[in-house]
Amino acid sequence: MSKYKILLVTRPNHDLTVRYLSAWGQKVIAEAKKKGIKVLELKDKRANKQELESMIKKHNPALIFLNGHGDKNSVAGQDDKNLVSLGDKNEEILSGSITYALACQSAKSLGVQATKDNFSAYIGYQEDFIFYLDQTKATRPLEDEVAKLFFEPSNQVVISLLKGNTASDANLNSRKFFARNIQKLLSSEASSESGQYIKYLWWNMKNQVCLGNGDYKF
Amino acid sequence: MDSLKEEQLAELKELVKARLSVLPKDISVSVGSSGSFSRKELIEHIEAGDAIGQKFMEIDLEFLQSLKTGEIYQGLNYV
Repeated sequence: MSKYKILLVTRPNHDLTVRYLSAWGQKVIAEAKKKGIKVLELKDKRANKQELESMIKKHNPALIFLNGHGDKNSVAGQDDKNLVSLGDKNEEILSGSITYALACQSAKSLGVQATKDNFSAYIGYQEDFIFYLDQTKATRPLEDEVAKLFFEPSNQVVISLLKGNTASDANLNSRKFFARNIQKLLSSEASSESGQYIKYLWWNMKNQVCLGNGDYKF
Repeated sequence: MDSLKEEQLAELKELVKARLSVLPKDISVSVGSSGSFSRKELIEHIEAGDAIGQKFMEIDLEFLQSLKTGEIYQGLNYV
């Protein structure tokens, strides 16, 4: 089934972690819209399995950006209810698309299963995605300079895909962005807490993988 | 981390706590569905030796090992 140049984004919003994911996801959406790309959003309560399956069936998006909690077998939506999971056997909805899951651990099993036909690409994390945040900015995540260190690199996956790069290169470009932030923290007159930030930038960078057909482009 | 002797584990615990103590009080860390933790809460988890505390110690140990083996520098150069 042919896919269309559409970006589908899920943005649950029920706790602090996913609120940050949702907020920083807006940057990617703005970038896509600037390029004239059609964006479908499943926000808050609409970030559920039924809506996701229905949207994919109806619109055939070539790029799916899942934000939410995850584990090795699933990525969740609003209220941590499964969106895509091996248990529900609905991973085939990702077939033929490029998926980026900004979620913990889902590249361990879900991503592997979702790309086993090699007609799909899946970028995600083999372990937890961990980030630091400034509690004083919790209600304005986009003004959080600490969180920015983590989300600018992760957002680079989709931004790079929007620019026409392959899934494999988009993953690499994002990892390069993590590396640049680490190097910046290493080389600057770093604050005493920089070592803590570097640790998890490194953690996210090394656990971010591209599975399936890395030659796919959006 | 299982391979560490009790004494080494205690040393690692102190090291991780010391490294965390430099964090400003308003900075928290988010670990997926496990939640978000302030500096104080993280130190409490490490002292308690519970699952969260163990996880942070494991990540810290892995990071320290990557510095020792040069894996981190290789990784930074590779990308």
